[in-house]
Amino acid sequence: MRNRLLAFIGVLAAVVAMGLVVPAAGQAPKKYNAPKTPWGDPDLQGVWNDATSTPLQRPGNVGEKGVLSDEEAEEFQKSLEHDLTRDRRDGGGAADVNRAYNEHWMDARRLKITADRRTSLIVDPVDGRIPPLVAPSPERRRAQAARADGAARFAAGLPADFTDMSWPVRCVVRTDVPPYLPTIYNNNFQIFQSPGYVTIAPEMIHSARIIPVDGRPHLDKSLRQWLGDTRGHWEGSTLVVETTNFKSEEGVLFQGANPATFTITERFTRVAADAINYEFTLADPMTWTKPWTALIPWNKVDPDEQMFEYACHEDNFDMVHFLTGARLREKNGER
Amino acid sequence: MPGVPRATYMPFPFQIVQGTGPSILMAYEFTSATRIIRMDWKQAAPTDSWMGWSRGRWEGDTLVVDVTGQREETWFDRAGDFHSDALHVVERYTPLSPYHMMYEATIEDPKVFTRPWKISFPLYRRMEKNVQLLEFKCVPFTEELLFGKFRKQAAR
Repeated sequence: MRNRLLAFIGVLAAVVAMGLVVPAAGQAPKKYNAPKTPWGDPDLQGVWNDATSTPLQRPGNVGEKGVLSDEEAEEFQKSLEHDLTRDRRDGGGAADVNRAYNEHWMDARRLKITADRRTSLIVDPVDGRIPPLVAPSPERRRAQAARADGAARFAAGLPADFTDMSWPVRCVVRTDVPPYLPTIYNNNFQIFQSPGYVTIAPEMIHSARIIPVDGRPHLDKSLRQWLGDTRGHWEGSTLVVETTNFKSEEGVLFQGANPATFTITERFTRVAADAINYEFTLADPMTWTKPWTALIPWNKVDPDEQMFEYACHEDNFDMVHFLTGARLREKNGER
Repeated sequence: MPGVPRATYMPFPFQIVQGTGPSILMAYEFTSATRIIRMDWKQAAPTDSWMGWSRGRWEGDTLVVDVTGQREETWFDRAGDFHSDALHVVERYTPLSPYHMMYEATIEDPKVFTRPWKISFPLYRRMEKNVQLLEFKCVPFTEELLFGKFRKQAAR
């Protein structure tokens, strides 16, 4: 399973690199009265899926268009599907083999654009693109360079040790670290609620994000966690979630944001019986020149479809394979 | 992940998230493991997993959880004893007061034990103000042990 992550990271990298842009007229959802729990909170319970082919950033080939017409949307979706699917034979045998992995275990929902026909998940800034990066401090530049060196050794098949692998490859964090972004599989999230709590269980990796909504303070700043420390409150029918206290390891947060100055606000609003709008705003004056916001639709999963345990580390044999392979290659004279 | 019933008596807390949906979440601090107890699932476990497949039902005030489909690799108990893939655990969570529950587990594993047997102990609610589970991502603690020996050695 681990290996698939590589493909997934490749996809993310491609999306980020592609030069994408933004848009969007954040669609004002029709007024919908979300059901309430017996204790009076808006009811978000169920299994939800955030897969989509709509890129985080608006791609260059759609110009400045934030929302497409039906006809344009069909074309957009077709083109994205062609790029994303592994079930194609063009490009010759080598390209086909390099696509690796079969399509059948990937989430087919990732081949569809969002129902609102947006050209990017980012809704702010209006160009649909992540704001320009801030020049890093010398200290951060060194940390980023060290991480990049490790990634390069790994990509070359010669990792020096396990720290050359990324946190997702090492099964430390995957889509369980916010913001939740769609990926090639395991895009499910189950929400459980009880009085005073909203709990999100991301399928990958099996953690439970238990969010107190009772007004209690955050943990002391000295206590830092991979997934941070989360508190929530209700604003009307929207669950607003703030997360702090992230660990300081380089490369855990999106685009290598700096844990000490990074803030993330997530908003969950049930906009239909079968849909939640998931919106997140990221801010970090040490990483981005201004805050930015993305809106990702969460679609309810058929009740017959269950969440399954995603045990990442337990069968992570690839770690040994990567490392023993590298040692063997060195023995054979490769560097 | 520890498997069941071992998860219940690790020296770390766990939280039960029980709402109005058709499932209850058990969130364990140890290795940040979770399992979903499905209250409306009648069929057999669809696949094996580390925490098993939990089917729940109510008997009066008692939550009865039938657990099958556990992978045989998990330790059966804290001493490191083993079980097989035929392990069948029936758990009973019975509230005794707002602060206590009695836990009972009937253990059946025809490939390992000659007959079914039971364990039982009380569970005490954590009463600290603002108590919360903390994160226990165990992977970073295992990596040196598992992968350290494959590190590139400095050229001699």
